[in-house]
Amino acid sequence: MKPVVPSLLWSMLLAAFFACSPDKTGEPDPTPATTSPTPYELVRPSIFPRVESMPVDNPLTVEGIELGRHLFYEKKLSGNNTMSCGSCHIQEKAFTDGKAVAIGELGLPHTRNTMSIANLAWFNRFNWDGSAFNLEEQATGPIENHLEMNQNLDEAVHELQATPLYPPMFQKAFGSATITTDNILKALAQFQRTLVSANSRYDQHMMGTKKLSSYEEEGMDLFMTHPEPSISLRGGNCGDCHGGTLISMKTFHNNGLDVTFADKGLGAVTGNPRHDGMFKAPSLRNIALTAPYMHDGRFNTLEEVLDHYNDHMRYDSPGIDPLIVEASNIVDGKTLMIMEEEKKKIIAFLHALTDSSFITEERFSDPFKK
Amino acid sequence: MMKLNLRFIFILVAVPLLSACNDKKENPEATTSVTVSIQNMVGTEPLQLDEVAYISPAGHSYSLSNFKYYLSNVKLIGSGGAKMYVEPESYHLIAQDGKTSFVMPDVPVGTYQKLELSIGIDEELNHRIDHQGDLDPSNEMVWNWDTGYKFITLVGSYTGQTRSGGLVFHIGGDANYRTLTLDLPQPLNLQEGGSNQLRLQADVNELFQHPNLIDFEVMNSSGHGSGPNLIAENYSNGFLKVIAVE
Repeated sequence: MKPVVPSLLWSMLLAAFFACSPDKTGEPDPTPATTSPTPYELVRPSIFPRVESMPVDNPLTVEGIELGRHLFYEKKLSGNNTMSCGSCHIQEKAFTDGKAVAIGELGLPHTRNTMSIANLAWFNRFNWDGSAFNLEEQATGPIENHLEMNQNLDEAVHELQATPLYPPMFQKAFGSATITTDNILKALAQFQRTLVSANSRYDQHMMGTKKLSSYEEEGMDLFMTHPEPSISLRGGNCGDCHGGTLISMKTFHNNGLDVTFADKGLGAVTGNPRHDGMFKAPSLRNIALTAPYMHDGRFNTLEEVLDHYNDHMRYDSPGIDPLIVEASNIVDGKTLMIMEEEKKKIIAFLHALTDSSFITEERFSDPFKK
Repeated sequence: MMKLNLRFIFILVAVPLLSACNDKKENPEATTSVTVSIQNMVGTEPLQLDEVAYISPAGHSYSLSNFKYYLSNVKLIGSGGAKMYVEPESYHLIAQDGKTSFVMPDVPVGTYQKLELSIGIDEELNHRIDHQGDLDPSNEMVWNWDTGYKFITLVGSYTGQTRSGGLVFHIGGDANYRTLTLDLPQPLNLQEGGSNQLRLQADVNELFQHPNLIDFEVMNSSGHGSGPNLIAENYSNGFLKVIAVE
């Protein structure tokens, strides 16, 4: 005997169930419009924290992400239609460009190094100076900055509207074929939130699927450890700022590069002189692919970076971070004092942060190059 | 007849589902919410980051740029231990520039005499990646999974008589997980509805004294070894107290 339950009852049950559900990922509306986009669930890698923030007015959808991917690689978003976001954020270099500082559409150099794009859904402040608090807001900067893509967003709207490609894509993603600045920014943000890198050998080690070599593991321990010479605990002191499974604490620091600041970094954003010379400690995921290093790209190799932290730190830099000043591998030491072999181990670990599937993933690639 | 039956089933199913959304459960026991708020102090002054210099118990001037700690496994205990409330997923990262209070939503009504809580993360969750409460495998409180979480992070600078520099106290390690039982200044008498609050104070200077006087010229950074044990003894003793029941 088969119990008969009318569909109305089932839909009531479902609706009641969803009404109590704290995280509404699905569409609770039982009458789907023909154009409503398909919700997309961002899967959290098991060793990651919770997603930092997903704006309620810009949920991920399959259509929004696909539109965002096209826009990310769309040259009409630059003033003379020669550059896209992807021109500087090149997938095979973990979305960097290999240059010390970015070169914009006018051929002029930017003051800062192109940042890698990965796992941004887990971050809450963007750019080297933390000037953007969400990705929707962030994208305006590079599109309109004359040293970057040098395009007026209203002009971009006109150009995209005139194409056969985009109005239907906006219709599918946002329910209107009339393109708006807001929807351009929303789509770009959606695509960027899907750029998840969590399949490096470090990740495999942490998830227990494949261990790092003992040499790399020693490098990881050194990387994550604040040295404690009184008990002979040696450390490279990287993890105080680049720790955790994102390989970034999401914090801002003066890491002793300079005594005077050509670029004030966070200080220019907050107006607090105490923040002058502070920059974001970025995630070091895929760091072996993203040379040169630092906010101004002054170091060409990871060896140079390690030499800076160990040997060339400007301890007289005003506001240098106490996390750096207080770290030494010898009692009462004035500098970090790690050994050359320890630097090599740390660098071996840094190479284990490379995620080769991330840089070849089809979904993240340029759709116009198919 | 069939239709009537179904309508009846529908009511049977729908009514409890609808009321399941209602927070005020009548059964089996009436509950209410309790807010726990923590004010960080230095002696009798409310702590301010960066701007203000304080005097340590050993007599050195210092200021802080960052101060965070984990409070966990919060319980309310009635007289004679007869009644007890255990907060689920009880891991709170208290930060001077962030969260300074939390709400325990479903505390059974009744009278409670003591607040029990721990500083740090219990051994069970300290060595694995978990997402209960404020546990996060990528926040500033992370070392690695051998060492576990930093229970307290305190960063700043000091000026001593003969030397000055940075202060970096990262306290962690299972041995330094401490459970405190704090007396309430008056019983917490919970009735249905209404708002209830426990106001706590945490005195930064108590990390540096009672029983172990910390002289910054001798010890100004600590993550492992004996230093954290000294500070853990201090934070077991007078660092946190409940100042008001409201």
